[in-house]
Amino acid sequence: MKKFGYILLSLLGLIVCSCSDDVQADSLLPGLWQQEQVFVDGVACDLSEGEAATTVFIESNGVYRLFDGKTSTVHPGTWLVSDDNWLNMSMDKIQGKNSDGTFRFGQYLVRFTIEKVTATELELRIRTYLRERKLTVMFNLIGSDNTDGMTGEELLELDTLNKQLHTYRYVFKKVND
Amino acid sequence: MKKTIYLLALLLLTALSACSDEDNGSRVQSELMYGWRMTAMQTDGESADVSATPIPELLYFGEQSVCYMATPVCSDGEWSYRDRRTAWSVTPDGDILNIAAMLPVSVYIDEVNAGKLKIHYFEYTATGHLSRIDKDFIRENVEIIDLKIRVKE
Repeated sequence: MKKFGYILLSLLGLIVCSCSDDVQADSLLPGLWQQEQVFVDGVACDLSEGEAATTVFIESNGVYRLFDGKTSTVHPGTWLVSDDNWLNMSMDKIQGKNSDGTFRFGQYLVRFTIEKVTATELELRIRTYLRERKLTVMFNLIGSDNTDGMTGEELLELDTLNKQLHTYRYVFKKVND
Repeated sequence: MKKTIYLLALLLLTALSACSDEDNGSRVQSELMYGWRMTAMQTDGESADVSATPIPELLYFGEQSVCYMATPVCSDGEWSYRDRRTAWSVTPDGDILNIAAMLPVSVYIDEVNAGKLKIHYFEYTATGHLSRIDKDFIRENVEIIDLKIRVKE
């Protein structure tokens, strides 16, 4: 009887502990976050005025909206926390150009590692190819490469560059109401 | 016998905690049903003069998740409705109202009962400021004509 009681209590404890991280991230993420810093391979980048004005509004029902301060464009998407510390976001990715020259976007699933999330700070990390970073609004649009007039050698050089892996870290601060 | 009692108690506790949120969601869903007329609106705390609009904003939450929206718009000094037939749902905890035509904007339910509905939502302005819009509604007897809602006369 005692053994059964201990097993039941242990099981209950395991269930509570395994859920706590997911519940915590889920409850801390909703809110308005402002991009504060971007690191590429550990090196801090100087943010432009537009990049510093970039915000992400995360809502508790799994929807978010990103305001890209560089292009003054709102990009919506969905978000979900999984396996304790992964933030899965559907993000706009360039798929081509419209007839008026503007970019045509499609939604693409991006998985970030949640390095840190508190009531006031959020840090996300992702390791991806440079080409993917250029095409995805993460969290500012860089845009596709303009290859007009490039020689074969230059195109090869660009392709090699775009296939390099980099670690990107994004730091956000919570904007008070 | 004791083992069975402990197991049943655990199962009952788990079921009760899962049910309580769903109960609120069901209650909110049932309170939202049918027609509403907007009576007040605020943007970032500043009230808008809704009396200046000759036709009121209307909402209708119907069966089978069907929602009708009639939003007054002014063009060349003439007021008319922008009509939308869309879908709606409420999150299990009853806090958020999802209206398909408004997505990705999520609507937060501040208060809902038989006669009153208070909601708020957030929208980005062109400069990146996130505005909060609050709207108050009261019950309205509406009818659906040609897939559009209008106040029943």
